[in-house]
Amino acid sequence: MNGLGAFLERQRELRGAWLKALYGALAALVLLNLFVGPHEPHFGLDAYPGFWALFGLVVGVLMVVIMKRMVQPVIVRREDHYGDV
Amino acid sequence: METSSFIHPAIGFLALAAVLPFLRGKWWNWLLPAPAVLAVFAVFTMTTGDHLTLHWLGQTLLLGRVDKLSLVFAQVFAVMSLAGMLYAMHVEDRGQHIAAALYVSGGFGCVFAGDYLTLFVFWELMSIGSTFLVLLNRTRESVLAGFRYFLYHTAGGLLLLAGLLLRYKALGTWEFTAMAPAANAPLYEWLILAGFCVNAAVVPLHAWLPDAYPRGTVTGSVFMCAYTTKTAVYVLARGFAGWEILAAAGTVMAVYGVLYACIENNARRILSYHIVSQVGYMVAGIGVGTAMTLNGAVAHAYAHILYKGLLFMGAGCLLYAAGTAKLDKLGGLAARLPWVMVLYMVAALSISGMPVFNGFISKTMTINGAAEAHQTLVALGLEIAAVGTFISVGIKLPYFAFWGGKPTDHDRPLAPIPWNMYAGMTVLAVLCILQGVAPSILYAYLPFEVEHPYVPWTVWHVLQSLLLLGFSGLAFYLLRKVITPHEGLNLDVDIAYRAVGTGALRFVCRPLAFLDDRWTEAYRVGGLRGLMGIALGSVWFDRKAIDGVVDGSARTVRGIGGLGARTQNGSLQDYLGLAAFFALCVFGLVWYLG
Amino acid sequence: MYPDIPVLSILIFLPLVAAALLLPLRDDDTVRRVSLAASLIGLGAAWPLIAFNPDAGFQFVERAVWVARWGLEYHLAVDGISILMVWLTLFTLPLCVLCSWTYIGKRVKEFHVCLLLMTSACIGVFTAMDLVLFYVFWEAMLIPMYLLIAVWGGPERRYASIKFFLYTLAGSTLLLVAIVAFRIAGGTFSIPDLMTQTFGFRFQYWAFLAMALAFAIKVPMFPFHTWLPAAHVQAPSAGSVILAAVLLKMGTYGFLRFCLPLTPEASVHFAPLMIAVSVVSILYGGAVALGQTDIKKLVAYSSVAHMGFVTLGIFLFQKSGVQGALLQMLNHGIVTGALFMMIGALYERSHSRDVADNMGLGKYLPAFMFFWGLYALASFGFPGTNGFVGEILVFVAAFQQSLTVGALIVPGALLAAAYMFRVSLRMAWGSPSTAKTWNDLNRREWTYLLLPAVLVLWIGLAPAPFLRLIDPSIDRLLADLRGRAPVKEAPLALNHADAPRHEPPAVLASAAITKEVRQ
Repeated sequence: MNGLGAFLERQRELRGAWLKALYGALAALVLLNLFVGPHEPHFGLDAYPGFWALFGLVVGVLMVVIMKRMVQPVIVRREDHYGDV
Repeated sequence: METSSFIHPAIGFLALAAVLPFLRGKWWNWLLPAPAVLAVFAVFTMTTGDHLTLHWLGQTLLLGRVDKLSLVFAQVFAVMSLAGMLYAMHVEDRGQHIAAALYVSGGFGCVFAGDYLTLFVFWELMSIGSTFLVLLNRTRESVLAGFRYFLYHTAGGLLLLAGLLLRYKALGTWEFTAMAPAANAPLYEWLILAGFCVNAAVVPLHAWLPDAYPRGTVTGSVFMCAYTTKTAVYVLARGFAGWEILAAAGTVMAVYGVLYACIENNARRILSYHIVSQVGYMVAGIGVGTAMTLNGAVAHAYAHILYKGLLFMGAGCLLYAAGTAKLDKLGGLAARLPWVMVLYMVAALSISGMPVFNGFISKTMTINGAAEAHQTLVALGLEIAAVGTFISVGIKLPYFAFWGGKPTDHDRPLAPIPWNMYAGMTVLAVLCILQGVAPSILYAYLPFEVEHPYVPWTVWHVLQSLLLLGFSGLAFYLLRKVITPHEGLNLDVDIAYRAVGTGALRFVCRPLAFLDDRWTEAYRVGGLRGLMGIALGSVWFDRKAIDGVVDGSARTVRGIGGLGARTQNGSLQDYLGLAAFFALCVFGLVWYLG
Repeated sequence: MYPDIPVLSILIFLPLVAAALLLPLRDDDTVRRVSLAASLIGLGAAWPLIAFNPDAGFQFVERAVWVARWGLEYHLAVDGISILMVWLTLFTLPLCVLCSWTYIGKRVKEFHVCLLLMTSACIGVFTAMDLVLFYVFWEAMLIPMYLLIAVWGGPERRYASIKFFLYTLAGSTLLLVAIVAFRIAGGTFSIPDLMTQTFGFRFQYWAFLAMALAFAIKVPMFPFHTWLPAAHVQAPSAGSVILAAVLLKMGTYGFLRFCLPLTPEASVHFAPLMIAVSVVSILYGGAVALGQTDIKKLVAYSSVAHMGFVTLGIFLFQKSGVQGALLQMLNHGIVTGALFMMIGALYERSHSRDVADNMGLGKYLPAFMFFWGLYALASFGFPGTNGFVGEILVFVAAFQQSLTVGALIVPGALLAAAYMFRVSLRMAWGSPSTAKTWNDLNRREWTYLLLPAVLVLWIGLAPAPFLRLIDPSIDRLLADLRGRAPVKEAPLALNHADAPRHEPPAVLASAAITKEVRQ
């Protein structure tokens, strides 16, 4: 394991700190959105601050939940379903 | 006075393919990047215009149509070929290199083709080259996948062939030009469009991609992800710009691809579905048809080749080192393969559109262009796809491959990754970052004139991207237990064409073969025996009847002369029989004609 | 160049002389060497044919009275339609001799005598200009072929050889009737003379049917094809090669030489039927081939499909169609001949024609698989190979004439790719491999596989010289046909001024792709 590997290993222990940094950054971004907005909103709604944050979060959650919990159970089969493997 | 210069970049690769089987010694691997270097050189020194006309079968073919559109694609193809050849240098199986060389030549040939006939020839060359890149993986799974891939692409090629032949009949020319969108476009334009869409993996014609690409060789899939689909994007941009159906199709592709990517387990299959999604951006941009979106599509194609190649290289390294690409079997590898992880993340962030990387400068152009053209649904769809992209390829894949919530796996044996694989990846990573930081090096080559150039590096654009990506990442983090990949096959539209294939075999071909055999038997039983029956009957008739008559008459004659004895042999009977038959036929004909 | 040398007679009688020379020989190897030498000398003797001028009609004419009382003449000539077939026959003989070097172990002398007789008869068929002479050679080729299958063939050779013989003989009897009818109606047996005459429609109708049946059996067209799989499967390797490469072409040659010039109106009348039967042959042959496990049978059915393309090309009456047809006759001879030679080489190693016994060759016989792959690609018409040139010419003609016909034969091309690829994949990578102890190609096998490979690529990449040989004759044939019969013209290509012109989208017009690269 080389230097970079060892570095990454150490960061695992600092997981909590990294997570706090992430939350902080996200909050800062939303704050910034209050002041900086699009010159030409695409959908009208996206002129509102926090729109894109909400968009990312909601769409992401919906996508994962719908696909993983609702769609996949219907369409999933054994790996060897077609007899290829 | 401008000197005209054109070296077809395919030449080096064709030469490599021809020469490779005969090289001896240990050093031949070093020869592999040579045609790529030549291609890069050729692309940067060639002048625009029509070069290399050829007369064949009484037609005039144009092999070297160089203008800004073909040049930009050729450029990225050349760069990618260099990275790909570097990445593949360690492979000892020459067949793979030959297949890759033929495949890349096909790509260049298609891009520079000025007429449909040339395009078709190189299109088929690409098809066979890529088929072998799948077959040469040499597992049962890959051989079967290669067969399906080949049939599918041959069918697509035949659609193209039918279209271009009908077009020739209607217009009298093979020239490959733009076709204006019209509600009542002639059949041949739809056929050609269908042929192109097969290669572009437009939903629902896309199923070959996630079927074949994960089963290709480690280095082969790297090549494949770049050329087939982007050549299709090029020909769509050339021929079908502004066709609205493409805008809708592209948006569907973009979302469809990421939805499947969210639930797949095999890393390379996730990336394959991703190709469908990203190409959807390009197809949508072509469909909208404004100069901005067309430029966006081209820019996206350029950037996509770079970061998708890098993504496949990263996944390929995982496959090479750990022996599997299945995410549920990986994890805890970040500390052991740190550079692979870093280089992968460069690509992952590029594809997601993170500022500093080249996805940021290309993706947003298309979306903005769509919005400006008031195609709100398209823009919305593409933004949704952006969220999905980041979640599946940007986070899910590397998270479960390199961490997965597991501690560092020290026990797992990892094959050492050769330096050339790192070299290939580094080339692409550097370019991703360079383009992201200095977008003009890409924008300079974009072919269409826009009224106001797109400026990606504005505060708002950066902020919007960061917001979108940051909160998508949060969504992932919150749902990381839900999105855990499990082993399984997700059904896709290929159930339809597999059913057609096996159905045809089972219900058409085998029964026909059976019937043909039975009928042959019937011939033997009925026909041959019948014929033998007639023959025996004739023998009987011959002996009893004719014989009898002749004998009788001969005895009578004998009474007169003694000639009877001489007439009593078989040859006379034969002669009589034949003559009678002959005479009957002649008589019949004469009567008929008279 | 050599006006007085009777080249064609030499080509016909040289193999006969060689066959006679073989008779007193005892040693098998000497027999083979003499036979090979004779075949090569025959090729050399054909050297004057290089001076063939495509623009001048019948050349190298030899004409002598044979039986004066019945007006039979010994009349030989070649033109653009037959020259390729003559060359094909001449090239096939040495290849047959080479590929049966170790394949045939018993009665070697008689085997080579049969081969030489066949060659002689085949050249006679392609060059005869007198109907009876043609018929004599046509029948003459039956007995050696029957013997090739019956003596040296597989386990069911009796059945296959008799079937072949009777099927073909049945057809030929009708041909004889037609010949006699022509004599009565036209007053001569000479083909060039008959070509200048016009016959009534009723006469043409029945004459065409009689001839077409004979030729259709030979081609073979569906539904008269069932003799071919049996014959191929049971025949020895060289027998299959000469059957596929040369004999099958006689049927389509007959269509071009007799049906179209002598019965033009009937040909036009029956064209839809012939086109329909051709399309069925293409699809049926392909579909049945896909379901085969016997490699030889698969290639046999693929021949049915390929010849379907040929007859289709002929009866579309378009220039590119007939070009494609003639070229495919040559191509099919080369490619399918080569495939049968390879199957023979494989049989010598595995003693089985079943795919299951010939799997996993890729690792142990790479050279073999390379050639097989090349010929497989040529078989389904991959660009760069000769098959592509022929197929695309027929496709152009098909689409020019009718969208339906074109649409129907497209699946035929896909089927060809499917069955060739499927069997090739199993042969290359099927497991468990049966090839572990086998040797790759030896020098002799390299020799006889290299020449067809060169031709495959030559015709595929630079077909112009071959087309140059046949074009003027095709033009004459079609002009003659058009002059005498109401051929339905393909809708003319639209005048560009009339073609509906769509306006390109405004953005493209204004944002034209600039030619200058901004540096």
